[in-house]
Amino acid sequence: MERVTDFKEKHDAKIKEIKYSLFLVRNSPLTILGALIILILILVAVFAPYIAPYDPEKTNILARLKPPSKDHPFGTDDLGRDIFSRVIWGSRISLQIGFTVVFFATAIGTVLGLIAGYFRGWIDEILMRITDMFFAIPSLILAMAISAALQTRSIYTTMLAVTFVWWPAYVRIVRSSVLSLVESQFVEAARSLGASNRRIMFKHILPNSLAPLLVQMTLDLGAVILVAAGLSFIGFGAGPNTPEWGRMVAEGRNYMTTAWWTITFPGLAIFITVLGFNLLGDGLRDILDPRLRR
Amino acid sequence: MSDVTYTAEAGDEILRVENLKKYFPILGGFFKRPVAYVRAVDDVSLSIRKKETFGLVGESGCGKTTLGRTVGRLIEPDSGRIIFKGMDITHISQKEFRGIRRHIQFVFQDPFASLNPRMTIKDIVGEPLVIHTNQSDSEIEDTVLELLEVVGLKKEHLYRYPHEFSGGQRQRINIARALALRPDFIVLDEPTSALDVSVQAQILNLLKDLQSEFNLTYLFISHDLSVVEYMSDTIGVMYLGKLVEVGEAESVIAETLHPYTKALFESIPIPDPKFRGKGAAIHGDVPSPINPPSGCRFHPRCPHAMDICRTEEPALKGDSSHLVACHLY
Repeated sequence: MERVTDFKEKHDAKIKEIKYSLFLVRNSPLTILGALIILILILVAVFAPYIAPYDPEKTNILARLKPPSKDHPFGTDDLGRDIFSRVIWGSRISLQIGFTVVFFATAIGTVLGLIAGYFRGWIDEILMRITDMFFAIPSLILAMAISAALQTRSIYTTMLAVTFVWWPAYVRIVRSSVLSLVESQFVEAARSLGASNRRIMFKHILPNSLAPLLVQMTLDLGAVILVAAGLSFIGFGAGPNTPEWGRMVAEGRNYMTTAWWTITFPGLAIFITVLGFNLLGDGLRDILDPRLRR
Repeated sequence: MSDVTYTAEAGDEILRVENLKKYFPILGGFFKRPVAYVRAVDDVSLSIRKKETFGLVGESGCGKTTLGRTVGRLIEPDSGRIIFKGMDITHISQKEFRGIRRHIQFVFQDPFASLNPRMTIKDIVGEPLVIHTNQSDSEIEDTVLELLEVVGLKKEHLYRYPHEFSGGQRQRINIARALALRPDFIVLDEPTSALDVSVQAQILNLLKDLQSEFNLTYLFISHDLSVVEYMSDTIGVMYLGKLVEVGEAESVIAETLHPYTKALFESIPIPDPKFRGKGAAIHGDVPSPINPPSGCRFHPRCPHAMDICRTEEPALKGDSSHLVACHLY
């Protein structure tokens, strides 16, 4: 038989799949809203130097605690720094923390979850008991303890601390879908062809457990940003002067009765970001739901 | 073919199974110790000749699928021997078995579950080639196209995903995958039981055509005796992990010996409104394979049960072209 060479004909199935996904997205305005928020947030973070009118770390004692105005749309804080610029620069830090933590937590969790669910036996037992230990300790407290133990204060220690408490959740998610997929007939078929364990794990099992993983990752981006902001709020995050949202709220809380803008705008930034990721995650869950797909 | 024998001559034989046993442990209690065993395959011996179709028939849960899977080492047998092309493959390591795996392929029962939903047809059918050969992507594509043609699919199917196909087409894809490495022996595990009757016939005919084209040997596992009758040169009947009757197909069909096989034949529906069957030919449920009945395992449901059946287990006996395990003979 000769081959199909026409691009459109060759990728017909993939094109149809994408079209169907877009169709499902179109019918879900909240997903679009979530995606839009995230898109804008990413654009803001990328183009922060061009958008921000002032240097986020430049203090100006003469212009301290100024209410929102034309010059300072979000007002200024107790050291006279422009809150608008700080919120814009803060998006970089939050996204950086969110993506880094979720990336590493997913990478660790996926590999360990695949191993635990695929090989079962003692290795599964050991890995799952370790994750149980992590679940037994409140994650924020554990992250605080790790931050405290690490001595230095920077966004990198925050990332390390949050990643350390975050991966066990992924082990669970991946393991549970591996457990059902291992029994599936196409895995047995792959085994009957002589496929290696690694091939079965990464070619057959992993691609079929991506949907719940992707949803969890999106939802976790919001959750991680919230936890990271919480850590800096209580003083375990970024160092002084860093335009980190949680830290800004913490610094502004002494003035909240007289200068409401010091905490409102960074707080809103956290709120909208987390909301955006949650809306997108919920939407993805619906779109990737196998019952909605053929 | 008049000299079809259960114990085929050595040169003619491709697969021999000797006293194969597989007991699945049931774990219980705090320490997960086995508290009982499911005797899925209990002391089964059979022999399959080159280019023939060995039809293995029996009710659900009688161990026929387990038997098929042990042959391909998808399940490790507990005892007994599996000899493929004169080589004992029972205990060789999975690594050594990889080379033999090329020659033993499977087609599974459920065409909807046996294809990875995230892979295109090209990747599914080409996977055995990726695993076992060093062919380039473009060579694999050519081979896959050839295979698709052989099983009656079109070139534009190459880049589609399994969910875009009907059950019959999916089973064709499964067959194409099983053929990719040019095996000698294919285990067909209920390949048509999930399909419509009309599609069943197409697939069965395809399998027959492929068999003569590629000199294939089939182990055809099914619960449907009429299908087995159509396909097989040799028929083996299993009941509760035991082979109760085995022989040349014509002989088993024409002179059915075991009461269980007779009951199976009687339960094939006859498409004639004037014919009203007597209802179920055998009564009761299949006893538990955890604690099978003493003596002949069929005796609680057998219309001809005698005292000896309750105490003594019958051995397979008869002339080599037709054996039966029953005290009546």
